[in-house]
Amino acid sequence: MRRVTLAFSVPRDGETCVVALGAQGDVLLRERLGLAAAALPDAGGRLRNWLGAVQPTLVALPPAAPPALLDAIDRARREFGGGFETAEVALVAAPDPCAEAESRARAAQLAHVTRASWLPGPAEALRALGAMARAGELTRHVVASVFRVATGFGLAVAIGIPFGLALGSFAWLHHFANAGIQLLRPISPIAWLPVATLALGGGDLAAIFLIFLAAFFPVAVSTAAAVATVDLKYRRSAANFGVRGVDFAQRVLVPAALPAILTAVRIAVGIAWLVVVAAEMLGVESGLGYLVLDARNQLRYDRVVAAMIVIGAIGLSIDLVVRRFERGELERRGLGPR
Amino acid sequence: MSRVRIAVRGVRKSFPGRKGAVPVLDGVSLEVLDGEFVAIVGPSGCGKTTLLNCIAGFERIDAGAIEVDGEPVRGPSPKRVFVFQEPGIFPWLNVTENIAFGLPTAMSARERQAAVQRYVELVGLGGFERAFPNQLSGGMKQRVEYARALAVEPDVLYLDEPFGALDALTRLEMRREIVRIWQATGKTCLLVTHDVEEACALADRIAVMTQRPAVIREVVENPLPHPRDPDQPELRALRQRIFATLGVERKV
Repeated sequence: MRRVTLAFSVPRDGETCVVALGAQGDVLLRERLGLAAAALPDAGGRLRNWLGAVQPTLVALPPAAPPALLDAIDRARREFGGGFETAEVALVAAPDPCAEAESRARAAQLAHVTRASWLPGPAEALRALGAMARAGELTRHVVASVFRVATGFGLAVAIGIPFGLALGSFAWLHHFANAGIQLLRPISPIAWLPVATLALGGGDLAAIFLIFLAAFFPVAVSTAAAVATVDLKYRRSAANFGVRGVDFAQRVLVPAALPAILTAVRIAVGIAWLVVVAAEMLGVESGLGYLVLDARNQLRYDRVVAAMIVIGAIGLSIDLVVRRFERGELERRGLGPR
Repeated sequence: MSRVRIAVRGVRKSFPGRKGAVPVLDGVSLEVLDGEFVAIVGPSGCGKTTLLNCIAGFERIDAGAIEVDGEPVRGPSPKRVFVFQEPGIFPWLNVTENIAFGLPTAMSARERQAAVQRYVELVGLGGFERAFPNQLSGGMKQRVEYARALAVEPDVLYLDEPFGALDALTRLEMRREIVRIWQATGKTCLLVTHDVEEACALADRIAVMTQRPAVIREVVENPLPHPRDPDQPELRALRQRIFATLGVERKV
């Protein structure tokens, strides 16, 4: 399977010829592009339109392409948002620049008949990881993601636990709210992404809202279920000693439901971490999810894998910390394993 | 001194079943005097625990009346504490915190500490004040439950198969313990059990309940002094009489 390919000629007199070949080898486009400083904004805009129209997966460049051309391609790619591989193809210069570009496109297609099988090895991924860490880029993305998870998850716990306690305690509230909850719960937070970005704008708010949604339902529903199944003898003991209302919730309901609540919290933080990566693929320009998508668009698969390693490592650390907290809390309260 | 503490008159109660209401209590009447130890015995599933739950105010009755100190029972009260079969103490509180659970919030820390200490000693749990229930044996948990119940200084203890979850040796020990506590505190005790021997070992009077729908068929007196030896001929005769009332002939 040949691929849609875009090729450029060696620039001469401040001009390059660009030719696009379809997968069947048909010429989709043949046009001269000015590369002089004055012509650049215009050239960049046209390039972007072509990228959008022909959607090339391979771009063939002459050796030692001038920075002006590379800049124009880079800017156009960013604006277009698609991904393609670039390759340098050396050819004997033809008299006609457009003939040269076409030959370059055909040569590139022949040389890259199949889809790139290149995947970064561990060494390349680690090298990319090191480079991003040194540049401070990694810290910026990690901080952005952790901040969003901490905020969204913190809100989900702060609202979800009291709401779950109420839901499990009052039959009328359960009767009233349960249908809505059960309807909203199966909607993947990712499905909320377009609506959330529209309603809350791009940026942190939409991502935080998504994480909140993802964590809120498991916390609230598990808390309600735990409260509803608190042993009758504990309820009766409390009633017998005249312990009611808020006092009862604090001294009996919460501690009795605590093991189930802590398990729900641990599961919810895992879900929140899964969701943040997806939530960052739209509307934001920071975070590990953005890093994955941006690296893919640049076909920097070494950086994609590096980001995946970081996502996995942070997810594991979060789980370890929450697990330790859960165990410590249960042991401190005499609810640990014997 | 023998005034009526608990009066149960013609109590009826049924539970909803698949084929309409299932009658459980069919006009139960009983009186318990102040400071008395009364046992209700009956076959499993006869409604003994339902009756005790109604007397404690955990469940409503369909007809009849239950009065404590002349007042109709409208709900549970710290004046009358229920002791559960499986200990109802809270696993997330240590021994001290469990015993202090029912104490009034207005109580000062010193009074609280003194009350806890008094009952820790009464039930013989000195040295275990900081232990959590999952670090205690079944008998010790039951002792914590007694201490928690006694700490609020109730007039009445309701005991629902209180030794049912214990092994045989601990059960004997706890029987002696409850008699000791009863004698030391003078509380009115109402025990529900399916164990005729246990009822005979503990109670002053034994009410014998029939199969569901239940009534109290007979109340037998048991004036023997404590400590009682289960092999005493009087106790053996008493057991035979109760078994006969229950309709179970036992070969000796």
